[in-house]
Amino acid sequence: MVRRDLNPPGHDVWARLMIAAQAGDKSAYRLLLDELQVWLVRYYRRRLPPDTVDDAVQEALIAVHTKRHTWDPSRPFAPWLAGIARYKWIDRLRNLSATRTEELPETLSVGDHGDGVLSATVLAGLLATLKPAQADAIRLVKLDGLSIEEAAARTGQSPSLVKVNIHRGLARLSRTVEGYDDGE
Amino acid sequence: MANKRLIDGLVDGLTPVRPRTRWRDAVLLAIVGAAELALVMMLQPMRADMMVAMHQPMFWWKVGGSLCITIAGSAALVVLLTPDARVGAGRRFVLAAAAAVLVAGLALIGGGAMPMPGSMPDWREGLNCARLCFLYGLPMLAAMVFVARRAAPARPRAAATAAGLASTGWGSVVFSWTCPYDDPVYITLWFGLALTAGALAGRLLLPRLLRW
Repeated sequence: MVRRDLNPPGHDVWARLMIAAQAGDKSAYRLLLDELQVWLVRYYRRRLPPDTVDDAVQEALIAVHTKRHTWDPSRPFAPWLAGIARYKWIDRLRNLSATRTEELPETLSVGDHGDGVLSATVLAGLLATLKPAQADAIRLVKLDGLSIEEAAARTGQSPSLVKVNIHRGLARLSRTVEGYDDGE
Repeated sequence: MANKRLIDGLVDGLTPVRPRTRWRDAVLLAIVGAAELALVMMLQPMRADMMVAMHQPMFWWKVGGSLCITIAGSAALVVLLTPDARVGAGRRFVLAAAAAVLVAGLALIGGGAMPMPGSMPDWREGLNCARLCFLYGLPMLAAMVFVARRAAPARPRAAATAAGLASTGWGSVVFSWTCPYDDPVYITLWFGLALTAGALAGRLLLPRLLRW
């Protein structure tokens, strides 16, 4: 489900650019970051609500910058980049569970239709790993945009139980996602 | 637009860096470990029967087993410090090391090189040994956290567990300088408890420190 992923076509070029960037070459670094930004936008569009994609891309770019010394030029570049992208994706999911439910985005599938469909598919697969009460609470409040009270009335759970189920469900999703190896 | 501004800022702030290598981390940890061991050997009295113990396989099984766990845990940690690390690699190191230590112990007992377990010392003594194994591991734990924070562990819980296990393993090696007990059951029980507690404490307490 989440394992199918982007395979960056220019990673040999990226590796050469990163070697130059590690040596302090600013023009190579700019070229690299411009290309990584495009790849990261595609990566997060498949996994996150559209209004969080830009933030995730920026966090990933900052991580690439601050952790650039951790890439060993004797190793492939693509898995290193994918590892950073995945780590920041999990961070985003964790933040999602820490954010107050009333402030969360209502929809996941706006903007690019293809990415929206894929994002919904990925999320449906992830929700299927949860208990039905947790999946229902997350689906109604986080995806359909219902209030806690509306979701409680719809599911027959008390409002506080809806909140608990959302919290536990999102925490479990984070753990599930952390267990994946993307295979990139 | 925001991304463009961010990229401009990152490019402006670019400075040359020396790429991290696993060997450099391993060497740093080895230096810290050696320094602690030397310090303890200078400042702490060795066990009273050390000259006799050094001729017993049990003593070397205790030291060698702890060292084996330390090396496996450290290798797992160093491997886990890159974003592309996979959890399975580190777990394999540790499980293989633990199995090797137990099989070696059983082989030594079966071959008559180690006596069958005798009467156990008081449990409070054992608990104290476990506590000291853990405490002697703290300098190594600090070094491991230092190394990990400079790197990019994308599996913080796995890295934290490896750090807790490996540092307590090293604490056990250092503590062997003063620990007077070599009974295989005693060692398995109390050193094993220390290692388990160290790994669990690392898993519970360290991930926050390792996030980036």
